[in-house]
Amino acid sequence: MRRITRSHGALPALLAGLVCLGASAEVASRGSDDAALTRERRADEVLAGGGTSVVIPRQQLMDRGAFSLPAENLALVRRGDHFAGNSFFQNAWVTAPASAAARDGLGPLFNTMSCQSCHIRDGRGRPPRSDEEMLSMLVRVSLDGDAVSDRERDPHAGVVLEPNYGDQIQNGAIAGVAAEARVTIRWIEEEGAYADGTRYTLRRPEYLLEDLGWGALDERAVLSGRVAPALVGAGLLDTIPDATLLALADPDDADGDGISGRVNRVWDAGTGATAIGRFGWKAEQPDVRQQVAAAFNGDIGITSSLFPTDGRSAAQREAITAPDGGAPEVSDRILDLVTFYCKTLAVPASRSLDDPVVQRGQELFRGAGCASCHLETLVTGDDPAFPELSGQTIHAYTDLLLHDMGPGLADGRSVFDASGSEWRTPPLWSVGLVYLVNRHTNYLHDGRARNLEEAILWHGGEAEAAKEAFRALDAEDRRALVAFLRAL
Amino acid sequence: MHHLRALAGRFALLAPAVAVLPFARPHGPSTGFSPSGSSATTSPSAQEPAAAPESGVEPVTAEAVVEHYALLAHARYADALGAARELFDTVQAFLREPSEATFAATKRAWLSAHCVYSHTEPLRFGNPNTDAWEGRVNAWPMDEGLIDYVADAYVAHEGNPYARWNFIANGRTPIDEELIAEFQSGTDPKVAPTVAISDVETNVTRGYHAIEFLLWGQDLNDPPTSAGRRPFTDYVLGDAGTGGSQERRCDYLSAAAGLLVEDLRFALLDWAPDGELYSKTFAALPVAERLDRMIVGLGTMCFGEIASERMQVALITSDQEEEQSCFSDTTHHAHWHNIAAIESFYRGTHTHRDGTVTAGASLDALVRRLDADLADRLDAQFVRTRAAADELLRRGEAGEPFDRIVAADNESGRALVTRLMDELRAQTELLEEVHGRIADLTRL
Repeated sequence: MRRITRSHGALPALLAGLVCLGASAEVASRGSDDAALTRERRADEVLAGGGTSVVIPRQQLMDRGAFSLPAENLALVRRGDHFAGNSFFQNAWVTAPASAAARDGLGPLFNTMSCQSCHIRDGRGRPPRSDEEMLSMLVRVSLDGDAVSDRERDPHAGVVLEPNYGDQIQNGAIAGVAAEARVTIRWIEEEGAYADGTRYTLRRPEYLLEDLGWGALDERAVLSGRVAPALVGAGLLDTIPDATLLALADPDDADGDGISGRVNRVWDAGTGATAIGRFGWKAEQPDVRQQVAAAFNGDIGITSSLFPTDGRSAAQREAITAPDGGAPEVSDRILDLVTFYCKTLAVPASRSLDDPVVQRGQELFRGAGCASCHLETLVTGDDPAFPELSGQTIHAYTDLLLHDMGPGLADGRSVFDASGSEWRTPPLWSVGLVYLVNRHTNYLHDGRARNLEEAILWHGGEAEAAKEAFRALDAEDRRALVAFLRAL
Repeated sequence: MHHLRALAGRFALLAPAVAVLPFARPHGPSTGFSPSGSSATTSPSAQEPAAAPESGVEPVTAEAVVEHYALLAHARYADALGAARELFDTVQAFLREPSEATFAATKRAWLSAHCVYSHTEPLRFGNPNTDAWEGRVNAWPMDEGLIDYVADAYVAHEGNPYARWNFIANGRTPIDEELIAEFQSGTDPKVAPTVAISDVETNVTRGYHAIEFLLWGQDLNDPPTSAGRRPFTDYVLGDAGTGGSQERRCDYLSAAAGLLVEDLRFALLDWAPDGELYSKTFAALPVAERLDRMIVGLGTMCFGEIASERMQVALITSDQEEEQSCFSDTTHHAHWHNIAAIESFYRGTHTHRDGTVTAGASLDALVRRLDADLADRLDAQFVRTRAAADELLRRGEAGEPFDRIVAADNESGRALVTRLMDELRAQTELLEEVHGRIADLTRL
């Protein structure tokens, strides 16, 4: 190891042990050798989010706060909206009518009560462990397959809605209203092996719906899990010009590299027109504000100017007469504050990029072709409303495009132009901090991957060659590649 | 550095060590921003002109300002620790001999300790070391039903499976410092429940506000002007006791008070002069970076934390419990001391708990060297901010605590909070102007 490590007496041994499980076995030190406290860029710290990035001292990583910091370059007078937005992001919505009128209107059907409940510590959700309820993920539903016509597609949701259940299973409901179902997961395991013979086990979820509250599920229904993604960097991705994405797209693989990459074209609730999608696991939302409003609507049951009716099926609209929390339930002011908060979170700086093992991993990452979709560098455009996000050179490791990921990951759910086997490249920045913030390492859209190796092994389709290149590596090189990801 | 210490000595008034509990006397506007509130102490701002260059001392430099800032940081955490130790002692005395009188003394000690701590908060945000432990010391809002009994009408954070756990009544594990620390930080992923508990940030098990709840109980607004009315008998063992599980509640209160001392000891170590921890890291930074941290801390506290998170949100929601010290209804004290702390950091002064004043190279003097007009505008702004803060404190002391001030039907109260927010915004804009001139300030 490059760094001379030194544990400090003031830090409980337990914490020091934890760090070893995190990025590249660094031991936390609170001492003056912790030059990470300086905001000046060092060789091993890359400001992944440009001017928004914060270099986070190691002891702060211990306290689960790495994804919750305001952008480094956020002006002092602009921090007000960030802090107020955080409050609305955290606090729970309640059943209407309530004395807390600004925050009533929960449900009638919902998955959770607050943004923070799924985006735990602004980080990544996960599937429930054996005896837990489903808390930081949800299950989407739609009608898909040969027996479904594209003409039935809901022009706003981009999917064919399940007649009784809409487009997601809401496992919560206010008093007097039936919840849609209780969702449990059965894991199906399958074995595989690296080229060197080392065996591994992958798992994929099968969803079981019990206590269906609104009638039978259509037999054409397709279920697909969604964990809450970490929020950092969403504002920067929002500021990348459409022209950049269109230039990156290669829908017919004209350059013959086996990787196409398509933009999704989705409904923009603000303009009522079609826009390029960039948020959501299938790039089904055009910008952060609509993503926030859609989550308020579908996940918490809160109406907004963008989604003026509660997210429920026609049958449910008919049957539920519970009072609402005003029209709309979340005011534009609060919606804008929460949007501002999400857009102005700092992307933590990368760590240890000058470590030889990490550097070796980066070479392997490039050599395997991962960077064809997980693009290392992009430049944001100009948004006068967000000067801190404008003109930033960022290292998000995504192209925001849809790629066919093959049958292993396919969920059969098509959304707007995204097919049942296409997924938007998720950004990899901060992926190495998930463990420290969320105390788990579950990745991919439904959290099926239990670590980064499994996440890579699930790749297929356009990423088949990259996955095979990883599978062919020996154990040391595999560790190096993962060490690189953990440094991000 | 010598001239700084000499300067500090000049202002060390040997005031009698009266029991300077900040709330013991109502703060009038005339007492200025002295955290002791004692009239025996000269107001820091009144002394400021003496620190100006014409007093014969060499002109203030950016280096001197940030070095003095580090000394002030240490002094303030030392005071916060001292007040927390007194709280701990008072808690132990109360638990040994529970009575109305010892209970009241404990609550006074809590308020004193929290007011003193409020003077450290402008150190947050700018100095990244702070966030490593701040959540253990002063976290809010909290789902108090995690800890102890609550009323039926309690509105929990319902995404929180532990919001009504009532660990005092239902927990099986003996309560000690280690356990309640683990509940909040979930450091051990193998202990699944503690990770799940700590996943929800409102599961606050330690710090000032957990102790506040243990002392006051829920604020049920019965009568409407009252704060929480937990009876002291909640801590009386046997048949005369109330609330059930009194022994575990005693253990909890004792452990929480002990942890607070531990956490602040940790904070103090960070700033120890000649120490090996954050103060050393800080001292090694370029002076511009240190100035940046200082001003970012002042400005973020001013507008982000106080005006927005603690005032704007309360105004938007009109939610009665949308306030920091919701159990004791003492939020007006926290606001006042936070706001005072921003100005006193700017002026390079600190009034110790014994009434003595430390002064030294101030940002005020530095800005004045560069741009007297900007310094004058800041002076005028601090006067306006202080006037609004004083009024909030005065109304709070006169039976109109913050939750009633922001009530939907309290037009003049809401107007006052709006005015204070506007002043804090204007103050932040001026601090931003100072921030924009860091390069010039470091060249002086």
